[in-house]
Amino acid sequence: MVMQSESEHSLVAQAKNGDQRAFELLVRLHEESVQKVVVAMLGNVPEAQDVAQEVFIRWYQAMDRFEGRSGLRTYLTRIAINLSLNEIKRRKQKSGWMVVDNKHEVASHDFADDGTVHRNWEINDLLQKAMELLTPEFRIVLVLRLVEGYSVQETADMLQIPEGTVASRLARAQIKLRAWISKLDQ
Amino acid sequence: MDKQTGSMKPTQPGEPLPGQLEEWLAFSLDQPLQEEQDRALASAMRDNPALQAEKIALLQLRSQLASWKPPKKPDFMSQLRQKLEKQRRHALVFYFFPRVAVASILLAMGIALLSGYFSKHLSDKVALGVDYLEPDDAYGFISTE
Repeated sequence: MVMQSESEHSLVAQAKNGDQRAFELLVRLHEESVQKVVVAMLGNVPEAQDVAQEVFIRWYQAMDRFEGRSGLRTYLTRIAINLSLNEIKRRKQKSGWMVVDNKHEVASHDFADDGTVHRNWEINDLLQKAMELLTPEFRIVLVLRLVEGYSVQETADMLQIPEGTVASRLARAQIKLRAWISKLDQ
Repeated sequence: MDKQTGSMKPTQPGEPLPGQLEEWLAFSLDQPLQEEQDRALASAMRDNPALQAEKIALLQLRSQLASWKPPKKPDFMSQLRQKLEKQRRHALVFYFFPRVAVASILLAMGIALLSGYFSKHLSDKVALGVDYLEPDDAYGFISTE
């Protein structure tokens, strides 16, 4: 597990004592990491910003109970995953999303009226769109292991699944991603 | 492939199925394969240029994913501050509201009980003190004036 650095530990202690500046410094320190997880999970949609902010609000509210055993980044990542999964469930209940043949979710706005895929995305957008096509269980392992850089073991611990499952989901996710990227990029 | 766990660990006897080498290759970038799979993959890698190209493409994809960044939101912090402030106000309302409500109910009940008591036990004359006046008191008032 990722342990907290000394300076982060002291910032957390200050934030716990009500130091708003320390809290904001910690937000700035982990903002990108949280945004990465949430945007990779949900796509670059307005709700992603709300979910990312909610991650910090949840931590702020539970700060007294935070002991720092798992490291703040890991702790925030766990909250970000849970909130993103809740948001995905909420979306599924709404009608804006459709499910195609082999459970691959596709956002309807990704396709032009004639069904062709929009072209000329930058690689960043391309990766994001391709990640959105993966089902959440594949997307999570991909985001944690390859975007956030957690080890297979850390990813497995975080998701409470065996390491072999993480690695096999990762393998299949990468193959799917490669296929979709080449399709999206055509 | 173990269907329950989704793991690729159990050995597959004989020749690998189509697509299996590709999966083993991707798997091997994160976890060691079983000996048999590892041997099959290594031998295929030697003779199969497509598989070699696949490895390069996978490594490139992994490097792109590692440097992937969502678009920066400049107002993230200010929005978060506003939301936290709103939460604090809500928390204060939730803290004080039940207490103020209970105190108000108790006060209203007290006033109702007292007014009920006085309306039963105190007539207008008692309230004005008229019952306690003796006729001689009237002289007292007149003389003082």
